[in-house]
Amino acid sequence: MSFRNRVEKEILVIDGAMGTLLQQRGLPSGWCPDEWNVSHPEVIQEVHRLYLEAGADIITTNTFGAIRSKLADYGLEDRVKELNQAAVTLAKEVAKPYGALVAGSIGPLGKFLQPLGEISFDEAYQQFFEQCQAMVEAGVDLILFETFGDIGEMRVALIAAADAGDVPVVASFTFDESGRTFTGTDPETAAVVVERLGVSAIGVNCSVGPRQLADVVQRLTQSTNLPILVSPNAGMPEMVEGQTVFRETPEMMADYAVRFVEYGASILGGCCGTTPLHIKAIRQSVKELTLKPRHRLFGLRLASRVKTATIDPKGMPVAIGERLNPTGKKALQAEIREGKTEITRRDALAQVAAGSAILDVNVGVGGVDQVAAMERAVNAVQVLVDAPLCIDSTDPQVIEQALKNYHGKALINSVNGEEQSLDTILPLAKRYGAALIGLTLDDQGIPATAKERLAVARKLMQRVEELGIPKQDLMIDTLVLTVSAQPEGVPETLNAIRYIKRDLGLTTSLGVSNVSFGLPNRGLINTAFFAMALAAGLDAAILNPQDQRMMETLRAAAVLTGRDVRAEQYIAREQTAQGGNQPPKVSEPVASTPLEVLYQAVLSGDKDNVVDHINKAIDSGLSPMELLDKALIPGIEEVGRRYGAGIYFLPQLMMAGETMTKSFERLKPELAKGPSRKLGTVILATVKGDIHDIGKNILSVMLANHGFEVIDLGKNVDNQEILQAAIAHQADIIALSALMTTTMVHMPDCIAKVKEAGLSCKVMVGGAAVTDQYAQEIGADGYAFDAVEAVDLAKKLVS
Amino acid sequence: MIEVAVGTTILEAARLAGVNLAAPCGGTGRCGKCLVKIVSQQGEGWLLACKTVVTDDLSVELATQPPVILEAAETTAIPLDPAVQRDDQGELYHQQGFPLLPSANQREEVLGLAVDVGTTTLVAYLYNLLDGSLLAVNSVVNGQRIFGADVISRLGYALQGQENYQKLRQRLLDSLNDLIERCCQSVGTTTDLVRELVVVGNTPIMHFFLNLPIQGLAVAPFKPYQKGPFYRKAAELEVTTVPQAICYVPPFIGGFVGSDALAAAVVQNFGSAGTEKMLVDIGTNGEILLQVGEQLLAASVPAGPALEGAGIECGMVASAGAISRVTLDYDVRLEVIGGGRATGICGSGLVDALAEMLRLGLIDSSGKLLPASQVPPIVSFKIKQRLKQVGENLRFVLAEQVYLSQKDIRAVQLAKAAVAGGIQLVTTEAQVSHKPLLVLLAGGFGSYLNPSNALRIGLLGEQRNMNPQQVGNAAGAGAVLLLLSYQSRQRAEQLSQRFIHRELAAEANFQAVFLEQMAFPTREW
Repeated sequence: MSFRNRVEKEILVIDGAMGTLLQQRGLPSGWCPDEWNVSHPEVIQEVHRLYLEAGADIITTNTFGAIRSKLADYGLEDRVKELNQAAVTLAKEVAKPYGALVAGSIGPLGKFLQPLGEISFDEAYQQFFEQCQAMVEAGVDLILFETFGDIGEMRVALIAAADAGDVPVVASFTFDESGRTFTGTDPETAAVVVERLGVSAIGVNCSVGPRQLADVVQRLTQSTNLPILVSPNAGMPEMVEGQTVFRETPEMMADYAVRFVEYGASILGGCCGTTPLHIKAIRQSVKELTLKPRHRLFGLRLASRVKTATIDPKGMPVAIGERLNPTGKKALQAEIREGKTEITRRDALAQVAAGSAILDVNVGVGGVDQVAAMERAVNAVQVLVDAPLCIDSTDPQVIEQALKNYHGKALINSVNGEEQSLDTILPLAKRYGAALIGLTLDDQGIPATAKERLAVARKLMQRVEELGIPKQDLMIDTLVLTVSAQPEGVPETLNAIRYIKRDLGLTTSLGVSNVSFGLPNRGLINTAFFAMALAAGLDAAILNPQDQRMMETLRAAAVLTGRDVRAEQYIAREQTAQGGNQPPKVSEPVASTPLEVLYQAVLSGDKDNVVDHINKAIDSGLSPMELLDKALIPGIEEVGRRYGAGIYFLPQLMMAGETMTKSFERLKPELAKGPSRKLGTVILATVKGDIHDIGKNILSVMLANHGFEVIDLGKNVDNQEILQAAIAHQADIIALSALMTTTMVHMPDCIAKVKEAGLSCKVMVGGAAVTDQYAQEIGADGYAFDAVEAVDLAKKLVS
Repeated sequence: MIEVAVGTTILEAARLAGVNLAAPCGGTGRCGKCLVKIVSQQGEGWLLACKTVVTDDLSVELATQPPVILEAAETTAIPLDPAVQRDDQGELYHQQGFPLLPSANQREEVLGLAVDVGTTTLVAYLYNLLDGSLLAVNSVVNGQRIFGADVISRLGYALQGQENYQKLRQRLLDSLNDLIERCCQSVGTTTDLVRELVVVGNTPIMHFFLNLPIQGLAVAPFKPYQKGPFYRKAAELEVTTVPQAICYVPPFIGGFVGSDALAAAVVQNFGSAGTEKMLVDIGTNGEILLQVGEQLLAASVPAGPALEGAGIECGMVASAGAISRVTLDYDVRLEVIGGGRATGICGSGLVDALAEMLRLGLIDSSGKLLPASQVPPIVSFKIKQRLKQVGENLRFVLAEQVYLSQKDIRAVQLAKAAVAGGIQLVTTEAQVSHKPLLVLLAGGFGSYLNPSNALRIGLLGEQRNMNPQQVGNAAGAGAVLLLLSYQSRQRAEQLSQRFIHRELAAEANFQAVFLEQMAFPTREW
């Protein structure tokens, strides 16, 4: 039975590692393993046999590196066909008596695609095609692309495999411990992309052990209905006496395999470090389990390299950002002509920040090589923002160049019912795994009535499905006419949306702003029309996300049409908007006890709520001393540490300091009753002639936080006044700050006056103009670079 | 070649020898930028000039390359009306009434110079006063640099005594005389034909030029000795190359906001009713001029030298080897001045780098540099690989020898908080409307800056509707205007009275605004 049949009905077991077993059988280090298919076929067959005996339903050929650019490392680049066909043939020979299937293993090229690396789409395609074709000719049962770390490369490989023949293909990725591939793709996004490129199953193999894969496998099962392959390493590699060792035992691997089947995986095997014993154990534990087919419905999904965006007929409506379009934009036109991308990049970022889930990209400028311009635009944007792209062109060459370069699943804007459009655009969507916006017009023009547009939509849907493109990847644009010219156009557009959603179950989109062409105050008409369209069931709109009214209308309409379930997103957004412009909070573990809450309040500078937290803590029975010693002081010390490490900066220091100040104010009555915890008295001032005091102000707060009594004389302070204050308050320390080299000259004078007056007071100095050396020269008792150092210095000076 | 006593530092020796060795921190050992190569009998090595004392015969090689100097200035057509003209009899006269040495004959050329004396460089424009044609543009480094990159350091040095003051003054005059000679030589004319000098600069530098006491300027409230305008004979001021010329220095606006800012304001038509606009000259001592309706506000912002590369670990002035432009896509894309290997990064490169790092999410809006594991997945691995942990410190490596550290980012935050804070305070006071504000970026740094990157890092504050325009050396263009149009001097003098000068550090809420402006904007607008 074929792979396609079996994978629908059975849980299948695939083999384990080949490499180690070959090494054990004498493969010299540095020798091309794929070459042994010709020079040592009996050894390869022996290894295959061991796995077949262990119960593997599928064996993988010894061809992981048998692609042109990797064979070139050994000077064997002209033997691609020979090595691959030898490998397939010997595998089939051994597999036949067991009724097992032979999977042609193909690994990544070992090079990155342009522009990240050197190899072009076409060059990569040639190499994958060459290897696939050789295998198909030799009668392989399926092709397994394994250990791929880059979605862009997988796309090329899958397209090449589809061209090489009607053979099932499995796309297996390798994910690291963060749950993403090397170039950042998450499991859902990987699934979204490969589903449209003709795969029979998707998988994960290598890099990590089964323990680390639980999350990835779950995410995969939740993201696709495709069968899922899981071939972990036998654990994470460890070095033991100079050898790499994998620790997972066959039993442990088998236990995980069972768990993976429970999640929904159905092809189980092993990668590096696994042996026939592991496979045998896996087989014993999974073979009798029941397959769990999944039948989830997914909406229209698009993907960038690292993120999936869904247009769901029942979910939130989606804003497609329209600004990357040179029509009427002189600066953008000029930039496209000059081959630059500065405005493009800025606008892409601004639109995503303003809430676009998808970005429309159009490079339609006269007299310009649009194919090259589109490539530039796609490459500039896809490395900067994670929003999937909508390729806005009707020129097949421009579209194709975009799709070749785009490492994701794009939306093509657009195809329509004209034969020429269907003939040129649909095949591109099929080949490159893209979704489509379909316009409801055809060779007869724009239909006047909603019913006629429904008919065109139906035709589009049929043609799309004929090519094997799933219908949910077709989004219908029911066309927006200018209301001032054709007032009857509005109800027809809106009704068309209703009919199409009801009768065909497809998603719908519109380019809203056309409705107001020629009228004054266009924004007003656009907004009202948008609301009406959303009420009719519109799923997506191409608009300017920086138009606040439009975005507000979208969010409000989502609530009113029940698409923002329980208004959750709306409420959350309105609450943050009221919160205003706050500095970002460092993400912390969740605080639960009153002491933890208080500690976090200091760390995050939450001066508005800290008194509340203190009151609650005291109500819960904690003493003010405990609050101080176990939460507040550790908090401010941690802030100081983070500041020193560069994680926090002055604003955070100040906010934390002010939080402490509020805390002290609240606790003053209680603390006054207890023993004095005063470390000492400090007279603080910025010297005469100097009016810079921000650093000094921060120090003032910090010293008080740490238990000093601070007499802050302010700025531009005469030495006489400083001296008098020191005497009056019996100060332990005088702390002087100067920001200018012209004013720091007052410092030695102050030190002299202190000596003259016979005070035991210490003098410490700081400020941007002052250095350690200067402090020593003038006989100061200490120098501090910043507020945090100054607090430590002050503590030393009083001890 | 110079002989010095044992124990003299290399920096002191350089000053004595009249050599142009830049000492941005004034020789206090804080900036690490005065590295020189010492070759002596004990061997060779790179050492700090301010810390290394001479104990034996040695030779010193300087590393400095001439910085890129902005000379281009936008000028608009001016009705020709210089102060020095020929009357109907062909006799030379000065409109202010000063007696002039008669010219040799009626066909003799009558030349004038407009000079913009900056803290770091001097630029001069040589004009034929009879027909208003530009003959030459030249520039030199301000020799005062050896006493410190910023004016406060120089004032500090000068305050130590009259001898020091005169040393500083002499350095300025030497640079000016040198510049004048070069200008004349470059077009094959002679200095005796120069009849007038219009000189503009910030208040402290002009005090040195005019030989005025500086005590008031050195400390709060930073009062000029006199406000001006000033007419002096060049001979009196020891501008020895053109003793016959009259010198005109336009009035100061207030505090450190000097004649250069006034000249820029005049040439950019401040004072005439109409558009709201702001002129910003960002430098170590930056100036902000704002016009809203009838209100004219001026403020200086002590941004510090971070935006000129000082205090930045791999920072340098904008000269050969400096990374001046940075873009981040799949990898780092650099433009290096002079096209060779990158040896450091200058102000414009710094702003570019930070803007791009913010865009990609390598720095969060509080200014924290993120390790590779915390950076968004969209970022390519080539960029991630440039985030390197070196001991306790995280760095972003731009080129083999050039990186940015967390400390560097903090230094820029301090500088930009000063500028943005200043802008925020004056625009709030003047009640700028929500219409797009025309922001004229003047001066060297402003001209090499990428305006949209400046906006991305919040250098110009939070105002979302800014329309930045680069206007080149506006102070120089203003000096030219004042040279060629006597009438414009009256306008300038009136304008100087109308401006209200704000000493920002003295403002009650400066601290709050300064701290607020330290964070980077969270998004592109």
